[in-house]
Formats: sequence, structure tokens, C-alpha cells
Amino acid sequence: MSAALVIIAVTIVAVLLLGLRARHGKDMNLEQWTVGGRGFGTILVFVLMAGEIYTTFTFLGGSGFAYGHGAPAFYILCYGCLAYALSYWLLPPIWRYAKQHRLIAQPDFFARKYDSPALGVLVAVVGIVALVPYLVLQLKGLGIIVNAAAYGTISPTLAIWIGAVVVTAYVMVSGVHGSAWTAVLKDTMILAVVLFLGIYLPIHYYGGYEAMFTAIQAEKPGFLALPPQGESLAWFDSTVLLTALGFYMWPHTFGSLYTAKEERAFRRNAALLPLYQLILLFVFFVGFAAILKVPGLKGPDIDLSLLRLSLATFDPWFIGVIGAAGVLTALVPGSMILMASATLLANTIYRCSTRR
Amino acid sequence: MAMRFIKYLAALPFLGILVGVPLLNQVEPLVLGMPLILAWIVLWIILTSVIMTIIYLCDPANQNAPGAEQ
Repeated sequence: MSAALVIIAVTIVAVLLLGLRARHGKDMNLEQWTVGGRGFGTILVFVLMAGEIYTTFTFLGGSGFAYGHGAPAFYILCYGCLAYALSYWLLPPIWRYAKQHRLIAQPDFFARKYDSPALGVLVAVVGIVALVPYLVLQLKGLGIIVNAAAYGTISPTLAIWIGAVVVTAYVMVSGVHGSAWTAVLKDTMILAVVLFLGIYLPIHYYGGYEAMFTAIQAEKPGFLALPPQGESLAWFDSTVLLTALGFYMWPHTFGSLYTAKEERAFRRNAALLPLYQLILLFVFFVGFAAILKVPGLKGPDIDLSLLRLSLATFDPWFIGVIGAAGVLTALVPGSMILMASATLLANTIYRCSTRR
Repeated sequence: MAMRFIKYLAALPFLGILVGVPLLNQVEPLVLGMPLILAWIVLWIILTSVIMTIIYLCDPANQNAPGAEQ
């Protein structure tokens, strides 16, 4: 067993124990399970909100997008920032209404507000349809990360099975408490790993950011600005605006705002979360550093740029740390997606259909 | 009362990004080692945090004791 594999295995066990332990001292009922009894302070709401945004897409996709597409990747930095500015006014009234009516999931809000159970069911169905591929994406990312970090000794399928069992176990036992506490671990680890990679790799391979971007500009002129066609300025503006407006429509994001103890948590986070977006900047730096060092990745393989460059650079034990951070970016959002879809299915669709 | 005007500051990030990026879509000059367009986006992310902090501090809704909000 390699050092990398040991570190990843230890992390997965730690997540499982932390997730199971999160239930401790709670009288579990549906409100406690889905929205933490509406008792989360600013920090836990912060890690939940950040926890579901920084997923395997951020880790592999963000660096891969920068590697394969260049400047269009910057849109990922922008939409969150605008959504957070809106959240200052958008989230408190939704939270107040949800607290007043003791809502626990996104469809409840629409069903109650418009006095239409049918609208609630429609929202739940749309939500589930959107969440399934998002969960698949997390698990697929998990398989890729573990497979690469274990130097091929663990097949993606096995990794996905282990990940899915772990997530299902702690979601069933602890609900949103499990997600919140594992999100604390995840965010600490991803912050450290991504900052390190984003600073170390460009300096190690190029001597600095300026030298790196000058080299890329010389090799691929125009790659670092938005192109006139395709992912153009019109694409950029429309994508950023649409994604910013739809940001809180994810059922697991919408649901997690119910966990807050007080509405000021959202206003504080509206000021904090934009800065947190800057993690992505360092993810991009990794993708850019890979362009000239591990060239030739095409199509879906661009998502491997971070892992390939890391494998070419670091000792196995550090690959284990990167892999472990990557595993967390899959498990934590995966747990929230799983919980949200379970709530949609059981609380809205099943309950509504048995009531008739 | 200041809040009535200060809240409009939140429109600035939208202008900075949706209008500013198309105007400054170029690689050179590099700013702090980054392509101009990227440096501009990073600047606006930081400014968004600053603006939202100012709004938070001026908003009377945040000045009540905890639990006293409606």
C-alpha cells in the first residue's frame, strides 16, 4: 500500500467518523435532520454555502477549464461574486418566510407561497432531475481522483462504491449536521492544498506568475483573453448573468439557507464569500501552469491537468494529500445533494402523492 | 437614512464585471503578473467584498441586538 493510498484511506475513515459523530447530542427529527433545527451560526452557514460550491468541478473542472479553454474559465470567478451581492437582499426574506412556516425544503417554499402543492411537486421534480447529474459528476470526479492518486491501484468503480457508501451512511445518521462538520474539514484542507499548488507550481516551473503568463501568451497568443467567437464577450456576459441569477435555485443551496439561526448570517456571508471565491484563482493558476508542462490533454482529459501535473511534480505522500482533498470535494457536496434529493423525494413527492 | 443611497453601491460589481470585462478584454499589460482581464476581475471580487462590508455596516437591520430582528 503506497503512502498516497494510506492518506486517502485515513481521510475517508475520518470523514465517516466525523459525519457519524455530528449527530451527537441532537434529538433527531426531520427538522433537525434537514435544516439543523435552524440553529447554525454564521460560520457553519458559511462552510455549508461554500461547501456546496467548491466541488470536484472546482478542483478538476476549474483547473481543466483554464487549461483547455483559457480566459473563458474566468466566468466561474464572476458569477458567484454577483450572486453573493444579490444574496444580501434575496436570502433574508426567504429565510424569514421559511422559519415562520417551518419549511424544510425548497419546494415547500413555492407550494406555500403560491398555495399550490402541484407547484411544489413540479419544483421537486425539476430539482431532482437537475441533482442527479450533479451527484453523478461528484462521484465520477471522486473515481478519477482516487484512481489517479492511488497510482491506478484502485479502480474508479471501487472508489465510487466506497464513496457512495460513506456518504449514504453519514447522511442517513446525521443529515445536515454531517455535511456541515465534514465541510469544515474539507474547506480547511482544500484551502491549504489549492493555495499551495497555485503558488508553488507557477514559481517552481516558471519562476513566477508574470513569467508563466508571458510564456503562455507567447505560445498561444490570445488564449488569455476572451475570443471574438464562441466563448466570446456575449457568451461571457450572458453566462455570468444567468448563472448569477440562478445561483440559489439549486435545491441543496436553497435548502441550506434554512439552517441559519439568524438572518444576519447571510448579510455577513455576502461580504465574506466573494473573497473566498479567490480560491478559484489559485485553481486557475494550476491549470495554466499545466498548459506548457503537461501539454496535449484533449476533450474530457483536460480535467486531469491538475492531477497529471501534480503526479509529475510531487512525492507519493503529497499526492495522497491532494487526493484526499479531492475526495472531500466530492463527498461533502455529494452528501448535500443526496440529502436535498432525498428530502424532495420523500417530503414533497411521496407525501403529496399519499395525501390524495 | 444613509442606507437608502449606499445600497445602490451593490450595482457597481455588476457594472464592473458585465460592462468592464468587455471593455478590458486583453492580455497585456500584465498586472501583478496576471493578464489585464484577470486582474480586473480579481479587483472587482475584492471590491465586491469591500462594498458589501460597507453596506453591512451601514444597514440599520444589522445593528440590533441578536434575536431582536423581526
